Amino acid sequence: MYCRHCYAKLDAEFHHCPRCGYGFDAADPSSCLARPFPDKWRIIKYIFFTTIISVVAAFIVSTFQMAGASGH
Amino acid sequence: MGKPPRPFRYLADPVCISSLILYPINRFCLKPHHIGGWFTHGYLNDVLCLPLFVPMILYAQYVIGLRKHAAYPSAWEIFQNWLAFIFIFQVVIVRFPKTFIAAGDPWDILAYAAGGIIAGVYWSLAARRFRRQLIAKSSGS
Repeated sequence: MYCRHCYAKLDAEFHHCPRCGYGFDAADPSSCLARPFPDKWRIIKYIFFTTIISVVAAFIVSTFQMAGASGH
Repeated sequence: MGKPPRPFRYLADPVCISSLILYPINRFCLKPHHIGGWFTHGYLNDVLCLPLFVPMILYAQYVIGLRKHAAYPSAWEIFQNWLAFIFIFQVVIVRFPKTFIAAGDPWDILAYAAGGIIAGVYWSLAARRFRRQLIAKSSGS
């Protein structure tokens, strides 16, 4: 049984995910996942878009540095 | 099940706020007055890089719905941003010396990692504390 939001392992004894705190109902299968990972394409999409965001953020920081304002 | 608690407060996270405070102190006090020597002059900004920007980047992901929770940053998220910063600062920028002011110092990689590890240790301890509180709350209810 795994969290729908962060994929952490859930303990049926408690009613909240130990990692992100989302509530779940052990008796309701729709409130949790049977396996700890989303499907392959969702993983690829997630890695791709989060990497793009990180690279863009790093580029913005470097542009700020280009202005000589950061003294990096 | 109610509204989920938000363990990680993104921009209001103590690590992010501390870095935000330390950055101008270094920029306007320590560096101009040569306090702290080579470390503050060359590497303190790099150490602050991940603790400062990881919460901001994760917040951007949270806002656009890529990150669906407010859990503390995972080792993977810190590592991914570390790689992104290495790629931009050590691979891309050094190829355009006329456009960007960057030294391409390989020790910067270690400085980014040091900042990421320090922040990661704090976030993992905070996550453990949050888990304990949640278990205590669940056991009590």
